[in-house]
Amino acid sequence: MNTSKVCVVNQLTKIYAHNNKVLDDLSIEINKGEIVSIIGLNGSGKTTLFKVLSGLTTPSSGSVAIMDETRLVSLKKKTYLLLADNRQLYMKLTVKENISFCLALRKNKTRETMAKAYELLSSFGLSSKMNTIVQELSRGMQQKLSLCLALIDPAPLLLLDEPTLGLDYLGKDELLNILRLVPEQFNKSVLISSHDLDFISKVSQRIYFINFGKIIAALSTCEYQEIFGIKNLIVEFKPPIKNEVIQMMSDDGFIIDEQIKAQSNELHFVKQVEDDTEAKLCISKIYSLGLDIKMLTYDLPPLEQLVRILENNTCGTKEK
Amino acid sequence: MILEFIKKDLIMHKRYLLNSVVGILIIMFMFALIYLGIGSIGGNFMSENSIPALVVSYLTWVLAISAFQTAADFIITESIEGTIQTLYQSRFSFLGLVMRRIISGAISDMVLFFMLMFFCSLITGVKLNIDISFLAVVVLISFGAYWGLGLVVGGLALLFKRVSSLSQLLSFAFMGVMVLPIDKINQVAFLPGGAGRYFLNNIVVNHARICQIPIYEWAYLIIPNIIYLALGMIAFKLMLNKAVKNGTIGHF
Repeated sequence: MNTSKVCVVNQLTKIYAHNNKVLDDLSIEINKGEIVSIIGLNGSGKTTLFKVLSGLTTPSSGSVAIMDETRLVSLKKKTYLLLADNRQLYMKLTVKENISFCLALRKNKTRETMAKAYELLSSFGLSSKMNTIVQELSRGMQQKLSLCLALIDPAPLLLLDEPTLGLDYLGKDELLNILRLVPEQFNKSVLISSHDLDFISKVSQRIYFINFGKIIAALSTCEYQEIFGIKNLIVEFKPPIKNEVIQMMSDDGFIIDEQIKAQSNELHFVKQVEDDTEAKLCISKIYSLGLDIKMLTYDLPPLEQLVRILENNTCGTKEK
Repeated sequence: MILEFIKKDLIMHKRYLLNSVVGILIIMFMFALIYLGIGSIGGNFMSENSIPALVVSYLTWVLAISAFQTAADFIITESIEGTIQTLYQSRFSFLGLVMRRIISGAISDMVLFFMLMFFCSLITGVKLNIDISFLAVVVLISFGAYWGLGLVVGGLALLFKRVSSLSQLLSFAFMGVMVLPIDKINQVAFLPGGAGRYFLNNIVVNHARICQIPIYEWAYLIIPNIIYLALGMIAFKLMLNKAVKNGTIGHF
């Protein structure tokens, strides 16, 4: 078996009760030292995949192989991956007590690992919080503690399910900086499941797009940057809006968001732009119309739109 | 891991000291009410033999509930707090981990048992002249059935999540077993705690010693408790497998 891989998921299918197929012949590979993300809409199968990898549920068919020391072995109790998730901390215990108890659970409680954990927490800026009860910590600090516990674990792959949930931008930046160090300093690969496109676009080397339990695209950084290069420019004018304006916007490549129109009768003009220069040009044109602008945003397209683009874009769909 | 569980329990007792103390006080207060209540009704009916019997029966019931809840509540509480995934992902088998939790609970329960016995002696003013080691052995063996039932309820909690009403129902059922006349209905010996109560009566009222109990009576105590525990472990394992297959570990 190829030892450059730390995790190989092969044709994984999971069918829950009532023939509810959540994972459908899904295959992914994660290489040593890679940070890989999985994105998909709610109910696409991300959480179930993580449950399988962490041993919380069993696959209906297919296989999972995890690196154990030097070779890939089938997923078993010893190789269950630890989900770095602050929901799994003992909220009524202190940071120190959590480390002690959780390391004991992983049969990994030695003087060295305890010292390593304290050192790691100090580097995360938590040395003064050792005796603080976990529920009194901020969400960001709790996240760091669960990360610390997962990093000390000998498992070769770190699983992060929605790591930015509830974090402010400073917390996200800190997490980003820590994660970038993980492959080199901790000799681990990382698999992230998230809806935070901005975050994963900054941290991942590869992205898997999952929809209805299937991988619909597996993109390298470059391919993925091309997709993420597309941003949405959205404009809303204060009413009344004349037909000439609608025509002008249409000529400029804007389309009306029909969903919003149907919901609130508001006219949102949307245009996909490929770079900031094009966006600036469009924005100056809009201002030159001299109309009252109610809202103007320039952002990454929502996940739903990305999934639609990927499903329709055969060039982008390069399953590996 | 057993020590880790005990350590964790001690930390929680110390951290929430008021709650722990009030818990013990309530047990003592309830005993005092029962003792005074029976005393006021029975008058001189409370003989020197009946007071130790009352103490031991009451404390055995308290510990029966505690032993039962160690297994059941462990899973329910960890599910509610979301930490059951942490336990499941441990390097121990999940059943093995639950059994370690049960043993740690039994050690705490035995400490509590002797502590409460001392307080009960203070309340009643009667010195309990009994074979403590014999009593400890009998209580521990009697726990087998409660642990088995606790494992069943814990397993059900993994599948059906909210099972607290079943837990309460069983706690009352244990009380029923405590008052059933074992010398008139032989089948009571096969109910959880039934044979244990017979042994306890022998120890407390007749001041029996380990060597005085015939082997066939030991069989009445040991075999049903082993069967209850073994069935509980099998049922738990089956329900755990089902919960893993359904992906419901950690849901609550």
